[in-house]
Amino acid sequence: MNIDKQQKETLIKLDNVCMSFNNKNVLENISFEVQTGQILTLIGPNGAGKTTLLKLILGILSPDKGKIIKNKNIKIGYVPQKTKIPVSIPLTVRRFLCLDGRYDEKTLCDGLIKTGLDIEILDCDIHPLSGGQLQRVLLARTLLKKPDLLILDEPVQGLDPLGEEQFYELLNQINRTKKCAIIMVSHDLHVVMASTHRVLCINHHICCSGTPDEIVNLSEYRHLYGKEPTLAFYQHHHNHLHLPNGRIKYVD
Amino acid sequence: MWTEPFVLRGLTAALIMAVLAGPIGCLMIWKKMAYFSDTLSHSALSGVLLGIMLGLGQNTGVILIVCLIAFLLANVPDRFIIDMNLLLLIIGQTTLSVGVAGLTRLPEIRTDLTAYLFGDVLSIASDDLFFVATNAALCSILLVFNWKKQIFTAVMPDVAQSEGVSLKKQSVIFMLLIALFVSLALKTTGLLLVSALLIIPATTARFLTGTPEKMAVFASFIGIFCVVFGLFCSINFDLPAAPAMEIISAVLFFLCCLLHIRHKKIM
Repeated sequence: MNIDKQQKETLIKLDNVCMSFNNKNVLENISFEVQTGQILTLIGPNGAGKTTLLKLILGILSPDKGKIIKNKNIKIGYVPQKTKIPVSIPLTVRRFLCLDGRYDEKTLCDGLIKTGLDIEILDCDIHPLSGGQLQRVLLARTLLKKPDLLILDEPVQGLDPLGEEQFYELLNQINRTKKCAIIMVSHDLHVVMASTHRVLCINHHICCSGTPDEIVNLSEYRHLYGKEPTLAFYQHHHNHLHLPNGRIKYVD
Repeated sequence: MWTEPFVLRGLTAALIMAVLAGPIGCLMIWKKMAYFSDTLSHSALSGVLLGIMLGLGQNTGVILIVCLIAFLLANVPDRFIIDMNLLLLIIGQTTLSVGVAGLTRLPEIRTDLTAYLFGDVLSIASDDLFFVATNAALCSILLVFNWKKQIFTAVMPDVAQSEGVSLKKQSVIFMLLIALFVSLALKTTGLLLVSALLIIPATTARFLTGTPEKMAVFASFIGIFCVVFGLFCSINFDLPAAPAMEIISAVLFFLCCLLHIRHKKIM
């Protein structure tokens, strides 16, 4: 019963949020809510206001009109779009994970393992890491803070299709095991289909919303993207797995 | 020679500067604001002029004007169409010119202009040393309490902000740090060579270290070495102190640079 109650709790609620830059409306009357354990995906064309919406939720920006109500004591973790860490800053993965806190060795190692990374990279320089590895390190850092709500801005940008799939699988895992709600921005609905509960299609206003299955069949969604969604997936079968650290694991 | 009071005073002041320059220089490099100290140090000459004209004394004048400009620059809007580096250059050159033009009109100052520009560390008086020490103590306090936040904002400003770090406050603190440091430099390295002491040891330290803290400490040690060796050259070969320090730090930098390019990694 306790769990039931927890699952229904509203973490964050947006009520008619409006935002404009230089007299240009970026967001109009955005209302939605996110509950414990829910995965919400924001989709929409470039410049539709997705990143602005995330920044409003994070409190980096404040809305011109409307309200954003957050659950008391909510911890929000943020993984930004295409992070570039300035190479002028010498940084090991360990120091990066401890940017704003102190964690013991075990917590750090657990954090890396949970995001599919080798513990050996703990004392490695962060700059030569690949895009996929860096994204996982960023996620690991955010998870160390035990967030109730994870916000990701195009987390798979720059990853190859296999990396994308693995990253979404990882997010799913985190969502299941930690009951952590997720709001993420994605470009491609088809890739996130399997791993999201609700989709919010945004083009300055909420264009449409629903479960992924509902969305693809809606005319608003098709109209927004200008054409019938024609995506053919090339499928092939591996006899091995590519682990995020670059190793190959053979499956029997 | 080294036990002469004036040498000891100069050495103490220069050592304090070198130790502080380590972490502050690192922050400037990480925030891509290496030209910032140049602008502020150039504006310090206008501060000297202002201080003398208002009868407040040079130190007060310098702190006033440097803090004023730091504050103005901290309030430049985020996506201003003029690049920050351009603003820094324009303000620096203007304030330098105003300072030089004004000071040459004051006959008693005229001869001192070289001392302002290139420093005269061996002529530091006891009350100057006191000024250096209190200023340095203030800088250290600001540094110690904001170090982690400063690094966090340099690495990922958006994330830092989303986790409750005020970017505005951190940027004011950063500029205040440099303003205080520059006001010290008037007495020691001179205005034209402040940046050398801030930037060159810190840049050299980047080749040798793997974490921000180590880079800051290494930068301080490199600074100390340059200061001591520079003063040694100054006393023994009758060279001006600040340029000697600068040349030594530059030699170290190019040495590390070459080694790094040849071996990819020194340590």
